[in-house]
Amino acid sequence: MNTLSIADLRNTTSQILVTGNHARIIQSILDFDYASGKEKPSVIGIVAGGRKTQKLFWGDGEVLIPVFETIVEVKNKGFKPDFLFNITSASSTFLMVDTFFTIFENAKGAHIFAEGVAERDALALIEKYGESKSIAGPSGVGFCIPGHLKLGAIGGVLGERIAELGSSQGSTAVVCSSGGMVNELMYQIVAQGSGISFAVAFGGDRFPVTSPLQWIQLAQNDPQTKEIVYFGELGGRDEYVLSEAIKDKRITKPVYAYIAGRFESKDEKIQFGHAKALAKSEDETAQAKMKALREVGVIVYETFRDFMSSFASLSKETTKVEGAREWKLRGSQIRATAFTAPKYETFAHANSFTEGILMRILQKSSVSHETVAFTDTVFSELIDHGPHVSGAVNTIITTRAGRDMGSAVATGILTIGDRFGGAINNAAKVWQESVSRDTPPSELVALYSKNREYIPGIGHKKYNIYKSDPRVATLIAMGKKALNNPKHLLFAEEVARETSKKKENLILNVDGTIGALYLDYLSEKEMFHVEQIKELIEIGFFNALFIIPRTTGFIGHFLDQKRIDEGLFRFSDSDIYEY
Amino acid sequence: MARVAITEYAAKKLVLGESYMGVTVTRGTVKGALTLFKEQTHYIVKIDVGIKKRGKQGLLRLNVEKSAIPKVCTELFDLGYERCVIEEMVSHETQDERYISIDLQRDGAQVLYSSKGGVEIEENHDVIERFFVPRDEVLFGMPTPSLENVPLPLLLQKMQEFHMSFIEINPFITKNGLFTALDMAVEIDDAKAHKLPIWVQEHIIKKANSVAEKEVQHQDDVTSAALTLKILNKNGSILTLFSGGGASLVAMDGLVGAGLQDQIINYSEYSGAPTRDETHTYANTLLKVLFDSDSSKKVILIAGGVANFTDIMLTFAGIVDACSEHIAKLQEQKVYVCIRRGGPNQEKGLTHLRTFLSSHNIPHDVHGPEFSLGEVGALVKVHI
Repeated sequence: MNTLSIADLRNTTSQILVTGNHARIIQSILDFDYASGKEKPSVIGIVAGGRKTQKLFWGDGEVLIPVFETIVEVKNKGFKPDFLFNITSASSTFLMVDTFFTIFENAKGAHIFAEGVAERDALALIEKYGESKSIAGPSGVGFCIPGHLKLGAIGGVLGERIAELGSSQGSTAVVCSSGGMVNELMYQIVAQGSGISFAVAFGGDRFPVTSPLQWIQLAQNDPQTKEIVYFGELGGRDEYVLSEAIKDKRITKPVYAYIAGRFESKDEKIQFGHAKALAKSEDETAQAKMKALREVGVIVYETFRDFMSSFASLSKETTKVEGAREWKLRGSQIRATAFTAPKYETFAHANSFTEGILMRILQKSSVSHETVAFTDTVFSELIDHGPHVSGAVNTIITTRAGRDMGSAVATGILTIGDRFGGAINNAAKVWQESVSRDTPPSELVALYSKNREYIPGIGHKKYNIYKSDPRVATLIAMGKKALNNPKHLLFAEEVARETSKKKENLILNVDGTIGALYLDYLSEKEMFHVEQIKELIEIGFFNALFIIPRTTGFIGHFLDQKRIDEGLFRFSDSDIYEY
Repeated sequence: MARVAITEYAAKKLVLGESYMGVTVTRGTVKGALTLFKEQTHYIVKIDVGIKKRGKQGLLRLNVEKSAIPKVCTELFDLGYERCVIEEMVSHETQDERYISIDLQRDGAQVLYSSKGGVEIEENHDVIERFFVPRDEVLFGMPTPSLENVPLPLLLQKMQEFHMSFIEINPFITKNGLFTALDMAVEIDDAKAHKLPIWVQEHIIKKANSVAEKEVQHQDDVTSAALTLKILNKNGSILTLFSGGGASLVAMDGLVGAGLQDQIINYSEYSGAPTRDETHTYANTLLKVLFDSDSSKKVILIAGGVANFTDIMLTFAGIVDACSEHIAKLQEQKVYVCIRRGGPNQEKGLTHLRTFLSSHNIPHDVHGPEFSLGEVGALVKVHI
């Protein structure tokens, strides 16, 4: 029933999505990938908060792994992960795993890192995904196909061992309850000259989602696996299920086993470290389970020492992973760079100031002449709008307090925000979202009016339908001439037609116009796709179109005041008190 | 931890609700509770701290009248227990006692039922009926099969509501069609214990009995790491300090295999990267347990696998911090220290410990991961 095939996984490139962040474990996955010769990391992204990228090493260099806010966002950006590595807390585990498989129906499996997931949460996962997916855990360190897939901390996080695991494979499968012990077993097997076909820590909780037998079944079905090494513990009945399967010849490959937990107390049932490690009845003791396995021909070792030494007689067939890199793990003296930035030279050769600005802020090596021309007009229109506005006032007052250009201009810039000059980005956000969702303009207006909010980019203190803003007219004329399909502008105009019916000054203002037209220029002339545009909105790009020219205006106000120099500014009483 | 028991009172109150009339008392609350009892009624008073087979051990009193309740309770508390439950006596014939248990398992809920319930249940193994309520019905509350005289759907629903993993009612009787649970034992899923009503919290049975176990329990409650201590033989010779769920079992097996089963003082496991301070406090508690043992030979065995993330230097520094407070005692009691451990920063950690032990003339055998975990029994045995 289990759809996973170890053999198939060796022939495909698997992609992993991580939920929760644990840089050290994720790094160990990248080190494994690099050693195995992959072109790029198997980890396609991390779902976590507070950042957009996670910097990690890729070989001796560095790589930025995308960080997403939600699993839905991962899908929207076009990724199709095959596996989930969930490192979130036990209480949010069910939701994460369930969401992942709901969104990515064809994904193959997962590893749940958390220990102490509620029993009913684990059972619900078994009910929904127990037959169709391969899920290692709750608890443990995940699973690994040497040279192909490392899902979790399995194999550890230490250098050389991971490099070895990434580049060499063999024919022994390791199926183990414990995260710590799976590593011990894997490296003992390798140390004694054999190799691993695949390994899993199915977890020490009471209800592992994929059961030990299901993992052993995968080993049985894998042509590369010749022998199976099994480590179990007291507690639970997994070994009886396994011995039934061996008796029925569903499992025919040789199994070498150790069942830990021989200490027995006459007085009471002892709970050992793992949640499952308690023998509730006589048949759950290590001894009883060892007996059951022996009866069906499993070689069960009496001491752990004998178990370890038996690895010497495992098959010695090991092969180098095709394309594996000869790579000695980077030394600890190599440190990640303090931050990541693109190279300055990429944007250094522009034909004009405006083009240079655009290349720099759009991170492009060339920009269309239409966009340059439009931006040039935007900049010209926005350089200054008189000394009345908050940014100019701040600059003037600071200048008159005797401060330098940098300080005075900075105080002006500091006033730019949602209320002053900072509406372009918000307006762009509203236009972009509405157009991409096909929201009718009337519906948008109704929504804002219901919430008693202003639509960003609509309304002006000075201009109205009778007295139009000349800057807006200039920009619209230019845009309509250059663009084939100014859909955001048309939408914004439609919205303004509705709002101006309600109140005469609720017209499309200069911020709303620039926001709309810029969206059109970027998609039509610069070939930006929706996700790129959404990112520009998210990082607040559009306000640059105001801050850049207006900084010049503030410099103008600074120089004006320096020339005139009326001394320190102070309000008179009548400016502040009514009486 | 996994499943934890709750008191009989809490079990019955959660499952039976308002219809349950039992009263729970501690030494301080007996007097105040007296108004709840009636004259001319007979009560049963039982120790209620999760102990089974109380009748055989003399931990309950039958046919107690209201006036005798305070005296009877004091007697029982004086045996060293903290809580009693008091219920009205229900007269019945032993032959009417029935047994039922429901255990949450991988494939669903396993129900065991016996028409011969009561204290002799284990002797009547052959009459136990066993059947399964499938997993989807247990999880998603679909109709469940009926069992004569047992409110099975209600029990399953309460198990779901209060995160119960196991429930055993032995015995129960049915009198005039009314289901009456005479004794009840419930285990809840520790992962969801915090979701239960506040009053239940002090009815969760703590496994810690000794002072040291209680100390470690407290240390565990306030850290994100996992710290455990179980005293097995307080006068044994070997103090264990293990890390990792699987590795700790293998190390225990090593001691058992070397014939040292009866010499093991404790089972201790720490994992989940405790800090240096947390390890220090934890190791301190364990050392006191070692010093209190009457044994003339003493060995500390620090063992674990190759850690994934636990920093060996940090945790070993915590252990050294604890040992440095007891140098004289360690020397005086001729304590031998054996170690097998690996993981991040292992060289630094092992060297730190080795240097400390050498400089204070404390005999030791310190090994890294090249030494097999299966050999720790032999490592210790030569010093016992």
